[in-house]
Amino acid sequence: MAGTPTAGPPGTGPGDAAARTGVLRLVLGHPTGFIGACGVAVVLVIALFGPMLAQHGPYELAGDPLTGPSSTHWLGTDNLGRDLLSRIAVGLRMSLIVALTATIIAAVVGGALGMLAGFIGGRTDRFVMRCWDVVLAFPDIILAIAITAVLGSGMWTAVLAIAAVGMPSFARLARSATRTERNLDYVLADLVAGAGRVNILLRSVLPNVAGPLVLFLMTSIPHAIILEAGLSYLGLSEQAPTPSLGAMINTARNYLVETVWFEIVPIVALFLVTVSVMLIGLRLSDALDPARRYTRRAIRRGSGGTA
Amino acid sequence: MGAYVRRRFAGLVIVVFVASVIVFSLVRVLPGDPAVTILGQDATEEQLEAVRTSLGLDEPITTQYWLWISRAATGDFGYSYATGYPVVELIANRVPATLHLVVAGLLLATVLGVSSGIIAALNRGKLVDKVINAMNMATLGVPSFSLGLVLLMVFGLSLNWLPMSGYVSLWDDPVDAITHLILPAGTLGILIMPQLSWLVRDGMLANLEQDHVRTATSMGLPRSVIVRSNLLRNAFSPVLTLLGLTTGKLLAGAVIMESVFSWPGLGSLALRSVLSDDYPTVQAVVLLAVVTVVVVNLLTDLLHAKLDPRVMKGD
Repeated sequence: MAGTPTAGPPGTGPGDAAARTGVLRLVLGHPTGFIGACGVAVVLVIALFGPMLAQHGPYELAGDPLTGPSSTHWLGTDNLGRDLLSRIAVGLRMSLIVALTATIIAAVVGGALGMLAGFIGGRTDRFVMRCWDVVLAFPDIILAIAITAVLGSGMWTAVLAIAAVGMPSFARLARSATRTERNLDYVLADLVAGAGRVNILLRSVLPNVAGPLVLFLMTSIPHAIILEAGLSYLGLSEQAPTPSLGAMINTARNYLVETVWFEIVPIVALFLVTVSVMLIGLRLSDALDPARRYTRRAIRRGSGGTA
Repeated sequence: MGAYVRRRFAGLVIVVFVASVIVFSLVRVLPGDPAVTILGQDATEEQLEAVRTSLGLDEPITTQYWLWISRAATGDFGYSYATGYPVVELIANRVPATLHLVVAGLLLATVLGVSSGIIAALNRGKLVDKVINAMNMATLGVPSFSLGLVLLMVFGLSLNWLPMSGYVSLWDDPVDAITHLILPAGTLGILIMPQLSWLVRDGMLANLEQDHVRTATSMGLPRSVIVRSNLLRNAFSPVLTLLGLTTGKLLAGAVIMESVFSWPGLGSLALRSVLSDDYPTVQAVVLLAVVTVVVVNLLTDLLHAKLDPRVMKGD
């Protein structure tokens, strides 16, 4: 079962289904995880079914601008009279898609490079880790600005920037976990038995490194969501008219004197999604990694949560 | 110490070199011709050729890099595509505003973080400790611009206690400057605070269990003396390191705060430049940010090594 941090991630062991219900029970059986799960459920319902619940599409000029909640517009309207509920729904979708894609890219690329560096060691190791030093020298938003200079602003720019910001942490984690594994008897036994390096890396090392990486991935998602919101706030992510929470918050700033409602709705939506995901990550790392060997950095240092 | 300093300095030079190559390449991989960007579509071929020569675009790429970096080292980043002013002038105009914001943010973060950490450690396990921990957690879940805007709505818009935007220099009008600083620098400070608060708390608690503290307690020294002379002194060095490590976070946070509070600093300059394709300015600001981060990190590491020579042994 997924009781120890060194066990494989849910879904890799033989007790596949059991491990999965175990994780679910782990999250739901504790107040922290339960509240987080409820929050995520609300977010998912809004993101998936919001456009159906709302009586107007996200691009439709459907009523008076800047109104409060009413029976036709449950969350009111924006500065152009578009329905906020359906715009929030699409905005949440965008931010979840961007954050998840970016975090997974960061985990796969960063994790693979970190494992290679840790396994090969020597000069390769030093070179790869020095590369991350360079990446870490760029403050996250500044890195995003630099990438935007080349690619122009847009969703994929945001994905790339968020992934690049997250990669060094995944690489460092994978590297140190791999270095620990490399010197253990079973790896030495494989080497002596003449197994190929790639084979050892994939069959023996990966399952043991994957657990901490998946846990770190879970705890990194909120930072990715926050960074995405920051980039879209600054106009470096999705472009109008595509709804995004950050851009909505930025636009509403100009109408604060008329109404604060338009500002508060996206702020609360964003807060709901980040805090809920964070609570789940916190619960998982409390249960699976009580010493915080793998997740302390993500939770406390913030692997890119500047925004 | 000498060998350690040399090794760290060599690391810094490598990182700055690679980062500068990246920043230089940014403009080289861009589609389009910088000469056309500057002169517009209607320029004649001779005019374009003249601009290309003046920009050194007909030289080999390594020569171009060398020209760019050696000029940059003397502060010459060329001319802004958007305004035609020298980039260094644009930057110099905006440095004071950003410095105000960053220094005040760092100060507030230190005061808030250290004091809340001490309070939490002294009340370990009690309600106060839990409340501080929960507040720190919540802060990490809030994007900086959301926090800034909420504070702005409460203290600027509803209560009307503080101005909602704009920058006033401390040298011109100290009181007005401080009222303008409170919201943006406060938001920045609150964002940096949680890590500090935890670090101080954990550091103090770890030290509480050490022999020298137990000895001091058994000798009957007052608690305030123990906290000041034993606990805080040992927590100081990691706090310093953490503050050094947050430089990048602080600079990135400043970009967002400048946008929220219409603050005329380097961040808003970088943002405006990137959205108007003003590449020389973007290059300069990005390079400046990277150099700042790397240099501050080196300085904190050296100071850390001086305070605690054990760190020189590790990598």
